[in-house]
Amino acid sequence: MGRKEDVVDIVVPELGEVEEVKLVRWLKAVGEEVEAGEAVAEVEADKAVFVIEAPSTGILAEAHVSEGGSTRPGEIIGRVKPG
Amino acid sequence: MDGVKPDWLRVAVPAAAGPTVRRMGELLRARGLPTVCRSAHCPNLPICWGQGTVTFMIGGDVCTRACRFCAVPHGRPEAPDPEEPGRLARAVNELGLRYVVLTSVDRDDLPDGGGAHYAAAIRAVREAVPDALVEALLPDFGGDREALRTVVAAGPTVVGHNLETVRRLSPLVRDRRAGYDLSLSVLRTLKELDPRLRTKSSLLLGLGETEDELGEALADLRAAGVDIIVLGQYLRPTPRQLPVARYVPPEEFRRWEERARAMGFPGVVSGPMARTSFRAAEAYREVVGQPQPATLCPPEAQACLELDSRAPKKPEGFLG
Repeated sequence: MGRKEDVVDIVVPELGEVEEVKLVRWLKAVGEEVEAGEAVAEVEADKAVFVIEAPSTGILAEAHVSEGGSTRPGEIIGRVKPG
Repeated sequence: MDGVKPDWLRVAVPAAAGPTVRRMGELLRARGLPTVCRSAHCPNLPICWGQGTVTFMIGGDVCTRACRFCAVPHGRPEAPDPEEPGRLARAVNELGLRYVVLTSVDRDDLPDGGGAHYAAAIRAVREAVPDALVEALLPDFGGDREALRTVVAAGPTVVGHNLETVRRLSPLVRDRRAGYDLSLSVLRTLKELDPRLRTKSSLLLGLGETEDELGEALADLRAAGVDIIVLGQYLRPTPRQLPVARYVPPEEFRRWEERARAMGFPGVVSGPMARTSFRAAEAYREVVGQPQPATLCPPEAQACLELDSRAPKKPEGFLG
């Protein structure tokens, strides 16, 4: 869960020994509505591109990693404000 | 060739699976059990673990061979841990697994190639969970018939050994101690040792093989009595392994599936993301004519029950 009770973290999933992935693109902009289960971002590892879903219905409130930037499994890349 | 990945190599990761995947990772780390899912950087990991499915890698996490497609660390492994079979059996119990897939590193450092240790692991699982079926994906044990006999005597339901690639590419792709004919002979020996065993093998597509070469490999596997064939896309785990020669489109995997069925394989799993252990229980049920359950996970698996109630998704390209 998020650092505050009113946001839900978007987390890069565990991908085994993969240590670093590239955030390819955000599929939603900050401020845009998202539905739980809707694709919000894509991250790329050597073997595949992983589509990350919104953990909750609401507004994409924060995007912490920019497109082309690197991130890691387990890292919070953004937050959804449920609504 | 690696470059931009085609659309069919996009894996949808359900957000709801996250906590289950993390718990699975913590449990396996706590029990000191390596998995090929992690070591091979398998892109299906978040899906499989999210559904409570895992492929254990026994005999340690260091392989004596250095195949050029594989990311499992290679070098001089330590002696097999005699406690490992017990830990494995307890984890199988904890996870509520009823179809257990084991694989192992190559152990050329051991006189029996690790056959006795592998057999001990199968026995431990079968004793702890008598109704569990065990699928054992084996190294070639250097072709040692006695090592193969020891493993078969432990009672696996399915035994697999991967041919990996076509004859011409084998010396380039696999370690020098592996071999196309050696692998076929291992598969034939397994059937000779117990004709009731279901045997399985996999081929990686996209390494530069031609259609004729792939057709020959399938015919050779069928002639060796293989029941279940898995065809999947070769994906480079890290820049240290061979580059991908070609991304094979899903339609081509479907054509190969039809061709493999026409050749008489009772079980075929073919698709860009197919891996030897992927949908292993389903492939076995197909071969023995058992109905498939509604979900991919056994109902008793706690890891599955803790997921939300949505039916597991089948990502694009998972099955041809």
